[in-house]
Amino acid sequence: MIRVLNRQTGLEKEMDGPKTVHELLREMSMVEGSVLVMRSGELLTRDIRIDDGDQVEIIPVISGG
Amino acid sequence: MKCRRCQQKALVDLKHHHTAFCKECFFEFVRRQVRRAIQEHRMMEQGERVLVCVSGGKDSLALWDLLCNLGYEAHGLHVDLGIEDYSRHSRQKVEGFAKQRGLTLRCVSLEELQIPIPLLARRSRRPECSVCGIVKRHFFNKLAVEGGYRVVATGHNLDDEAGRLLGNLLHWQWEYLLKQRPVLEAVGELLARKVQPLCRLTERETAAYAILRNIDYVIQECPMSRGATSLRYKEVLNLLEDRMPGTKASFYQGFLKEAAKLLEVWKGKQGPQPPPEGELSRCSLCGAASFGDPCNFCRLTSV
Repeated sequence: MIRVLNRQTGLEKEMDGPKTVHELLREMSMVEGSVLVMRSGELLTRDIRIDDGDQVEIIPVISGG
Repeated sequence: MKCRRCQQKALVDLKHHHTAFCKECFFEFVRRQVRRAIQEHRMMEQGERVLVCVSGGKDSLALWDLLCNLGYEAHGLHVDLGIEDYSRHSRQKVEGFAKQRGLTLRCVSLEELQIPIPLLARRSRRPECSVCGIVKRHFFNKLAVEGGYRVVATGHNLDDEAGRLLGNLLHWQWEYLLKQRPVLEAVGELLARKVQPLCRLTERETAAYAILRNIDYVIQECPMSRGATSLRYKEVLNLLEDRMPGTKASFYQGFLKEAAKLLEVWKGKQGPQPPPEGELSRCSLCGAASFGDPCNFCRLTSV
């Protein structure tokens, strides 16, 4: 399983792997332009494969009021 | 993906530019975009002294970092809004950033002035974001003028401005449309010039820059901004951007190019006339620049 942590909300989720960053965001109904994805402190491009056992962080980037 | 420039492993992909960059090449890309915005819109002179409005979020801290890197004498101004934990947290981030880099920072505490945003919003029965805007604009300009800064820089990015443009168009806010520019010129000694050097960069790009530069910023959203319409406009634009990369940039950049023509129509006899604006003078209560007397800030704080 892939562990996905949302850094803004603190919520965690588990998903089946492997899948690319692009696939992961699509499955989570997230738009690529509104988040960044990190693994082990490194930013990931949308083609990177995430495997079972990996932990990734989702960082929402939209702010304002 | 590989970096377009050096073929190293890419860390940031930019769909709307059909490209990807490694860390160092991404920094160069971001600096180039900021330099271009500054030159294109004649925001300031090389090395000029500038007051940067810093909230503790990714955009304003990234902007401060960038302006220092590009050789500007950039000093920070933080308004502590008095919104409980969020404001405490934000101030810590700004102070930590300034201390780590040895930068000049001035903080104004609304709690100490006994005018925290939640109290002002409650008393005036106005939305928090509207109250916050009035208060921040007041202090940014007041302290810029008092400190002899000719330029005030804010961290508004492409997403902010495209979202604002969408909102202004959806409601046909003509007077706001005409003022929506990345540079608002100074007015005599009363109003400093306001500039938005991040106007060519998306929110995702400034966030990636902040993370790669190890800038410790506030990730949590302001609790007062939940459900704000500006966030809905950004969401809609991001959905369009996802299907049609480049939409946000062409929407906003196209507006800036066409805005001059719009202005001509507005001022001409064919178009609707802008509402008459009072003459800029000093508020008789606080001395700040204002089109009315008392100024919006004094009206708000004396409710």
